Order: sequence, then structure tokens, then C-alpha cells
Amino acid sequence: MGDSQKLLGFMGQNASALKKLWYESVLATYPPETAQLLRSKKDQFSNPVGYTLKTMIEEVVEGFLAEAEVQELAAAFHPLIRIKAVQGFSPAEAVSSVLKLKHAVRELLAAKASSGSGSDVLEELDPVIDELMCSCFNLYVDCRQKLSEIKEEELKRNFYMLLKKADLVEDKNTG
Amino acid sequence: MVKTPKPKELTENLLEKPNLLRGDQPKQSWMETPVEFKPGTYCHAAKPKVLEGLGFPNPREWQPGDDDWQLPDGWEETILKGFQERLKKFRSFKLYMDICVRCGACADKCHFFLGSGDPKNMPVLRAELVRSIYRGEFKTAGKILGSIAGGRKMTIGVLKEWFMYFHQCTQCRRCSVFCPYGIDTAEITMMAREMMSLVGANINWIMEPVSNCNRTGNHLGLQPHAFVSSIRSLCEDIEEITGVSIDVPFNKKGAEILFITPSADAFAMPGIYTMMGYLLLFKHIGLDYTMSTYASEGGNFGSFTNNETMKMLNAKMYAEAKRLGVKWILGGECGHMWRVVHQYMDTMNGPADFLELPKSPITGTVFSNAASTKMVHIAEFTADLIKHGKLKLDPSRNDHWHTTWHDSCNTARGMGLLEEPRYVLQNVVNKFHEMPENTIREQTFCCGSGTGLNTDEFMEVRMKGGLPRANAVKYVMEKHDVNLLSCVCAIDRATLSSLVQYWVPGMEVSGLHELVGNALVFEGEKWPRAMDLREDEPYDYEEPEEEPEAEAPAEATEEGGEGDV
Ligand code: SF4
Ligand code: SF4
Repeated sequence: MGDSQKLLGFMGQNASALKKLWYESVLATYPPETAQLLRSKKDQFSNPVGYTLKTMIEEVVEGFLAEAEVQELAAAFHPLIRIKAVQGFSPAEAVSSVLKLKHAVRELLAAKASSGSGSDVLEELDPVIDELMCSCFNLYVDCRQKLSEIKEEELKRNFYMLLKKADLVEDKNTG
Repeated sequence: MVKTPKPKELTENLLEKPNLLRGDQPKQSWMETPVEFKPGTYCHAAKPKVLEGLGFPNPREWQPGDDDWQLPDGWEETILKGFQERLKKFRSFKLYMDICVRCGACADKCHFFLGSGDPKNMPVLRAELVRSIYRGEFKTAGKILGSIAGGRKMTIGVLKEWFMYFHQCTQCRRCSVFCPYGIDTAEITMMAREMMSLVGANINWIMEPVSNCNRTGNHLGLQPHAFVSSIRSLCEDIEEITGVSIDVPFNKKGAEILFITPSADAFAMPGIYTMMGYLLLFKHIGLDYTMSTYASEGGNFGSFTNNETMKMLNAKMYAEAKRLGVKWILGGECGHMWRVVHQYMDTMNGPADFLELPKSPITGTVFSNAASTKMVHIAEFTADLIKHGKLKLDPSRNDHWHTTWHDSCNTARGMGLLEEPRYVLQNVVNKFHEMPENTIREQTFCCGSGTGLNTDEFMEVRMKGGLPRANAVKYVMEKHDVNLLSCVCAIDRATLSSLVQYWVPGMEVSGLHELVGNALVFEGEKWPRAMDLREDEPYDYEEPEEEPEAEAPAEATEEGGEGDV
């Protein structure tokens, strides 16, 4: 991730506060009753969305600290974007989960009031956020595209024998 | 110049005020939040021709997204009258309206809630959509105090809400497992759908199959010759793949057993491979059976509409059993067919006294659990065959599959069929891994597309609803290299295939008897084979150069699943 010592230092010192703030801000995109349940259940299978969100935040922050490549950080976002892409969120709303990381960093910086170093941290963070946003936006579009493909393929499967009879699908046996 | 918010403002904005960028929902109570029909979030309305043919009320061209639903004058009274009739007729409904203590134990147990995060998909709030009308219209406190006592009046807003959320319940009954009072939200959904039917608020994906089934015997509305020709074509494939030649009896009077399965097994992928498995099994044991072109559908979409329609479609299977003079009925891999047979058939059309107590002609086992309905599930039938050592099986023929088991809601929670399919599966494959405990058996997660919601325009909601299921499937894929999700339900086979495409790419879906079919060892069969039943090529096979003399009998027969019984 290039030269990002200020950012790394800041994140290292504030990792747990940052995770918490970021987590809460993404949770706030859900209605309060839902956020409460997403927050309270820890089990991976009884609470897939809450768990995905928690894992993502953990992986992204830890990834930053381990100086992971941007692609790896983006990959950590993808499970959440895949969920948001079918939860009725617009593309902007879905990828705003990335923006919230930046907001959380800014907020923490402001709270620390360590004048001077803040803008350096943000300067180092900005290009990474930009790339993550683009990657997540692409994934969102891919997910929506995937839905259309799935619809088409399902129709073909449902009518497979009829289409085969009418020579409208490839017969696995001869084709 | 653009005003940049100060960090403090940003925080306030971020954490307190609703913000479109964040996708915030308006923070008003659920009762005041109106529904919004966006494409992908609702199923299309029933076509007028379909409703007319079935004699259902208020046939018209409309869509749920329309402002004006073109409801008949006095529709509110029609619903309220229907409500009262049902409170009298179905004691469970009345009970469920009265006894919920809102403890919240069910709140996060519904796959639609877990996947969508929409509070109205919490079972307790879903039921509240109906219960609030019960209070507001029929209970004194609710009538006087209105929303203070949790009561509401029946309005178009409420009806739209019903349409949205009772078509986001697959009647899977998972919530009921966790309710200390055993309140079954599935039955509340059934009642709500019945009441919506009274004013013509139906969806086409349910009503068209009902109409087709009523007219021609199956969901696609295919006529007898198409049904026969499709199954014959599958027999040709079987012969090509295995060398086993099969002649399926249709409408044969006096056969011992009538075999009924969902029509998807005759037409759809991957159901057709399961059909091949059944046919190979029947051939293997020399079963005296027949299929019917009249009862060519095991599925019963009537059960997603109202009890009268469910009864009508169920009766057809029994009428055919009577006409053909069979002794009993063997039922294939279907979900809601079994829910109907197991839970409602006896009250609606039973007992089927003109049939005999089912007895396996091969093992002599009497299925006394089917004493009233006279209909046996094929997983029970096959498990019994295996237990008695009647099948020659070579599970290594499924070694290209590492399987896991999806308990379909209707057969698992609805009728307790948990062990039999697992027993069969573990005798026909070598590699099997369960999904995590809180996602299987009684706690199984629904495919997210049951009860007639398996239509393509609804794909987005289906993907949300299926997330908890897919999440557990993904886990066993990543942890144990599982590559096949097997189950005994035709809707599952179709819809899980789509679900895993979105959430767990690389996972395949199969029925149970497809795997039985692969593992069955026949005298004089082709082995090694070029292909499995899917016409994939997992086996070590080399095309013989000359005329194949090498129809070697299988080697691995002793290793088959007869052992650990
Ligand atoms: S029956 Fe199933 S789909 Fe319906 S509310 Fe309960 S858990 Fe949800
Ligand atoms: S668990 Fe039962 S009693 Fe508790 S809120 Fe749900 S339906 Fe009501």
C-alpha cells in the first residue's frame, strides 16, 4: 500500500475504537430493531449478516495493519456487498460501507485532536478508499448482472426437456 | 465553495440523522411504514383468465405496483367476514391470534428476516400484521383504543402489506420450533393468503400451476403425450448411459403401486436425473407399478391458495389410485405434496379406505405409519430396501461427489423425515458431511423460494431469503470440500440450484435418487461407464476400440451399502 506510515501508526493505536465506530455506522443502515438483533447474536449461522459485517471489519482493519494489497482489502468487502446488492440498497448505499471507514477515521482523528498529523493520515487513506469504492461498485454491478443470468438459466432448467425436444438447448449427450 | 462538514457534524449526521447515502430507513414505527412495491420484490399478479377458469373472485388485469388494485366495492367487509369465518372454523387460527405474548423468541428465526433485515419479516411482526386487524376490528379494547391497544382497521394499506409479507413467508415453520407456545406462523400465512384470495389478491406463479394442474394434471399444463414422451426420452438416456433398458408403465390398471412425483422430475433439470434414479430402482427390484398421466403432478400449489383448492388437487391423486385399482401409492421426492398428505389429507379426503395398508412387495415391511393416507415416501421405501439388503450398490460410483444434506422444511419439520434420507444417502455415497447443527434437521433453513414463490421476477427476495441456507452450504464447501447439496424436494432442487449460483458458486444440487441411480449395480450393465446420469464424465473410462465385449460385471458390488444396518 505504498508509504502509509502515518495511517498505519494511527490505525494500530486506534484499531478497536475504529472497528467499533465503523461497525456501528454500518449497522445504522438497518432499522433499529434489526440492528439490535444483528448486534446481539454472535453465531455465524444464526446471524449471517451480522457475522459477515463483523468479519469484514476485522479483516479490513487487520489487513490495513498487515499492509495487505488493496485487492485483498477489497476482497474482504465483497461478502457484505454481495448481501447489500440483494437487500434493496442502491449502489451508492451499498458501497457507502467503504466511505464509513473514512468517516470513522476522521471522527477518531477529530476526537484525538492531534493537529497536523490528521491530514497526513487522511491523505494516505484517501487513495485506498477510492480504489476500494471502485472495486465494491464493480462487484455490486456484477451481482446485479448475476441475478439476471441466474433467472435466465433457471428458466432453461425448468423447461429443459421441452426445450431439448424443440432443439432449443444443447443436448448434453449429443452436443 | 462547497461547505465541508466539520467532523462533529459528520458524526452527528452519521450516527443520528437518517441519511440516504447510508440507506437509512425512516425511523417510524413499523405500523406506519407503508410498503413499496419495487421490481424484484413482488410476484406478478394472477392473470384474469387463470382466475376465471378456477372460479376465483375478481379476475382483472392488475399489478401489485399499481396504485389502484381495482378491488370490488365492499372488499373490506368481504375480508372481515372471511376472517370471522376462519376464526370459527380453524381453532388453531383463533388460538394463534390470542396467545402470543410477544416474547420475541421467534423474531430472529426466520430466514427472510435474517436475509433481508426487514423487521416485518420477523415472524412475530408478520403475525402482527393480521393480529392487529383482529384486535382493531373484533376485540373491544382494540376497537375503542385503536393503535394504543395494538389494533388497526382493515385498509388498502394493510392489504398491500399483507400481500407483500405473506408472500415473503414460505410457511417453513422454523419460527414455530422456537415459540414456547408452538404458534405456527405458517398457518397464519395460510389464512392471510386465503383471505387475500377472497378479493382477488393472488399471484400468478401460484394460480397458473393450480389451473394447469386442474386442467391437464400437472403444473406446466402439459398433456398426457408430452408427459409420456418426456419420460420415454429419459429412458433412452438411461439405456445409453447404463445399458439398462426400461419400459415405464403408464395408466396400467391393476398395477400394485401407483407412483406419483412432482412433474419437475419429468421435465426440469436437475429433477430429471432423480427421475432416472427412480426408474432404475424400480427396474432393479422388478416393481409392479404404474405412473399416471392424469395424476402427473405430486405438487399441490392449491395448498398455497386455500384449503378447498388444496383438497381438490389432492383428491385427484386418490381418484386415480381408485380408477387404476392399485393397492397403495408411492410418492416421490416432493416437499409440499408431503406436507399436504401428512398433515391435511386425512381430514380433507381421508381415510383412503379403498386402498390397502402399504406393504413393500420386496421386503414385506408394512408401512403402518401410512395406515390412513396409504401413501409411502420413497425415502422410507428405499431405506427399507437397503436395510433388507435388497439393493446391489456401489457407492464408489458417486465418489466424484462430496455430499451434504439439506432437510427440506416440509419433509423434515413437516413430517419428521430426518433419518431415512440420510440412511439412504450414506449407503450410496462414500463422502458425506453434515452442515452445522443449528441449520439442519428441525432447525433447517428454508431454500427461501417455497410456497409458490419460486418465480424468476422474485429472484432478489429469494436470494435474501435463501442466504442463511446458502451460508451453511458455503461453510461445508470451504471446510470440507463439499460439492453436492442433496435433498428430497423438487422446489428445492430447482431453487437451490439458483441460490448456490449466487452465494456458493461451484456447488451442485441433486435429488437423493439420482445418487441411488448412479450407485445401483445391474446384471449385464455397461461398466465402466462413460458417464454418470448427468452425462458428466467422472469415471475412469476409455472408449473401447472395437465392438465392446468388455461388458464386465461390476467389481465393487460387495462393498455396497448392505453392511452396517
Ligand atoms: S413460517 Fe418460516 S417463512 Fe414464515 S415466518 Fe416462520 S420462519 Fe419465516
Ligand atoms: S415466540 Fe411465540 S409467543 Fe413469542 S413472540 Fe413469537 S409467536 Fe409470540
